[in-house]
Amino acid sequence: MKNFRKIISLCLVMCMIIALFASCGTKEKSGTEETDVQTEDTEEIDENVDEENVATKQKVIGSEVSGAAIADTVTSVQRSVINYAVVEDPADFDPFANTQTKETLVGFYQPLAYVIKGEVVGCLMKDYTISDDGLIMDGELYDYITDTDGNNIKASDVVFSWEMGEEITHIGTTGFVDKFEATGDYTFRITFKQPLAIGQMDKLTKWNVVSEKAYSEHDMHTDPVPTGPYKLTKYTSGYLTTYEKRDDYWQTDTSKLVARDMANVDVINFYVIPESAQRTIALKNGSIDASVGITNEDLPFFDESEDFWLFGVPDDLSLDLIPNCDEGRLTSDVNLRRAIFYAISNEAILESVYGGNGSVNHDLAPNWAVGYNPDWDNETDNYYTYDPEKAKEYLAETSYNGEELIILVNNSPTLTNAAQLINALLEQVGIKTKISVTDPAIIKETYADKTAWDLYITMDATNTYWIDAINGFLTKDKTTWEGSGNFWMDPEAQEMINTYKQVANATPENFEIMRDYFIDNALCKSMVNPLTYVVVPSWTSGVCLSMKKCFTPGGSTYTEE
Amino acid sequence: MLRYVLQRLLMTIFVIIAAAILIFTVMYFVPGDPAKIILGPEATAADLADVRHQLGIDRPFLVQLGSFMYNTFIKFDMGTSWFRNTSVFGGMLERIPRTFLLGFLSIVLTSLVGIPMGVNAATHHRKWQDKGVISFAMVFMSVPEFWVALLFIIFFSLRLNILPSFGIGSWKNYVLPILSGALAGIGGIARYTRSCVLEVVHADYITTARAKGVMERKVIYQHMLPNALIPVLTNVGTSFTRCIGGTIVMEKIFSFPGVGLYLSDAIASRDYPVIRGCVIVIAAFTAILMLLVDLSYGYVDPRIKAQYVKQSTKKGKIKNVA
Repeated sequence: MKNFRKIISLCLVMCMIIALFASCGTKEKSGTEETDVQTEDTEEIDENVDEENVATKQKVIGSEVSGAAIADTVTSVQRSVINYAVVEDPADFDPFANTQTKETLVGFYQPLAYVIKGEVVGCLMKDYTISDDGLIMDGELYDYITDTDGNNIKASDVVFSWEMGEEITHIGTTGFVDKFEATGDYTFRITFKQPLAIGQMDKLTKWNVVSEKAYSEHDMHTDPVPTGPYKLTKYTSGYLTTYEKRDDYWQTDTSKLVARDMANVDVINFYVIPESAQRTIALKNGSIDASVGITNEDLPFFDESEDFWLFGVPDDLSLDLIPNCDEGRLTSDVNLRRAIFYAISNEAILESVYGGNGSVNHDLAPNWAVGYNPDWDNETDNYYTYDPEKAKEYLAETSYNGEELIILVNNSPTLTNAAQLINALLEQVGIKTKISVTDPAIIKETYADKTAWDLYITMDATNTYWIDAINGFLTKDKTTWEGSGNFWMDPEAQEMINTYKQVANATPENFEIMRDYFIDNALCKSMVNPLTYVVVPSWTSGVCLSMKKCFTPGGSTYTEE
Repeated sequence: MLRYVLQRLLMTIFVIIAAAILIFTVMYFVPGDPAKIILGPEATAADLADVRHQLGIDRPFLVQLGSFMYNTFIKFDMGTSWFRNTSVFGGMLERIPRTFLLGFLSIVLTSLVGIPMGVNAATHHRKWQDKGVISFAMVFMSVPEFWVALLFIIFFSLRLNILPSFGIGSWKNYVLPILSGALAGIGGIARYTRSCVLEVVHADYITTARAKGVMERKVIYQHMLPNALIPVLTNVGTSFTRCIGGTIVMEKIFSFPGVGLYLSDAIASRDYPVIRGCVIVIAAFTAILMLLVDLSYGYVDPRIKAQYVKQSTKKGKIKNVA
């Protein structure tokens, strides 16, 4: 028995020693410690990259910078290889599958053009004109575009790609595109049903163009034939995707390239690592060079490390609270909605849920959206600034009798944390809630059931324009019922949004009218625009991000190690 | 014997078909419209109807089930992944070898280390070797696999940087998942072996052998182990059923692209064809392996073989008399 105790003690000592070795020497700090990452790293360079910024090397060059501008201003050498960790497997290389959100496929295929800060910048499209009445767009392609198979891309391929995009992915242009036709080998014409609205041009450029011949000859799900600067050379499902720089890339004039279409690395290895802790470890032990999706707890380590740069950029998603305005719900009472909005502190959510990594929203859209009025940031009251006393006043004007409101939220840890905090904040003013956590795969179905929830917490995207965020929320075009996303059934709202989203009516004055309507009726409270972080090696001189804030290894610039 | 084999074979086929019907039915009644999951909330009613028709999910349940069974068992077509747009069968074929290798090596390591440890503990009953093995088994059976895996990653990948923590690039990628998966198993098999050997240590034939002056080594290896290890080998054989379906946690932790990760990703994205395909393959693999284990009893244990023969002879006699 005595020996047995000794053995047990020995085992415990061994376990403790192993645990000690495993955890000693770490540089990480707790997630609550102060970090200055967001102030240092979120700065984004505009079109003109200045020498001073280049010297600090801690800048986001963005995809709006042309290849020539980068070559002139940023220290850059051609790198042979970069190993980059991504969260998701590309899984499907089909150009008409949903490629926009897959980091691995950003820049692999190419669209007609990019919309950068509201401006259309040609990619495959050399030039375009829009008729005065806004109903016809004539476009012209470069006549020397070739894919990796050597096929010359013509206007007929553009029409084919548009038709395929509509058929397979339902890219959503049929609502406003009447006719899409080739008018010559390299020219095409698009006829719109109504004058072109803001945001619709954005949509027109969001689908990939491939050769019809290549598409019929190859199974592009696994054997893609892109026009971009890289070609696929190796793919192991769920593990590795390797791209190699094309020697025969069609666009040799760097002045006509946006940063994301550059190829500053010969070989890009995308490793699929779904677990964030694993990505952090792989970065630390040198298995990979760069990564996205680093948790808040690990940020201080990378911020202080000499081997990495940490970049934080505003996410295109914002945390929103949507009240159900259906007449059968308690939240159809505007005063109850106002009480709820006043009871919620955006600052508290930013600090508690995101560890301070982000900014509070003062509008449905974050302040970087095109068309956003910077003065809105300084409003002290208009956008339901946290005020529990005011919340109680509004609550007193309702018939609310202590019933439990249902907060619908998907099971992501961030969103459920936000739901718990909102639950507590509402409890403080006397509003009771219960949280209904739902599987992300079916939450949109639950959301479409107006009897299933009162408050919905979700992440909503703002792509480019302020009006897009309002339109996306308010329009009935995106619902299967005759009202907006939160069952707000007001024909006046539909008319307003349809009028003001037209290019001619998209004036700051009209935006103010629409915003006031939105706020007066307490239709949605956008709370936080979080930062998303990219960790890159210290031999990076400029980070290129795609429209979806994805790190673009080929477009970024590097120095010697 | 042949009759028994046929009976077991029929039972195995029944189990596989039942598993297929069960998983199809469960997935059919799971809440959520696949068309809405694929297209998102902005899809129009026409688009949704179009996708439902393409997927064949607008047909009655029995028609869908019949089509699924026909495609799976007659045409060997498990369908196409909704999110990958690739054949589920192809996806499985790509991943099964990796997962099988991981599970197989893990079990081999478990057996190679665990069985000798158990024998050693039993033959040194109540001595320090026995207590050492018991303690080891207790510790590693108590701690969860994922915790051991994380500890190994931190120690071998992060601190020492001698083994990779993710992927399948080389043989090194297999070391940590195999070690992590094997440790708990080693403890379990060591304990089981120990108790099996202890059961025969005091058997009459062992005492007789010793009384006759047979060398202790010969007593252990020729008399004790062949009898004691029959249940142990059965246990090891059964554990091979975990080769395909038992590595999900390890695959997730080590970002190892095998069947387990394929299945867990499919569950997260509600990719029904992949979920169904994985479940059927795991069920079929398990049922077939169980069949092989059952059949091998007859060869490993003469008593069971004699029982089969006896049963066959009795039935043969009755038939002759009739």
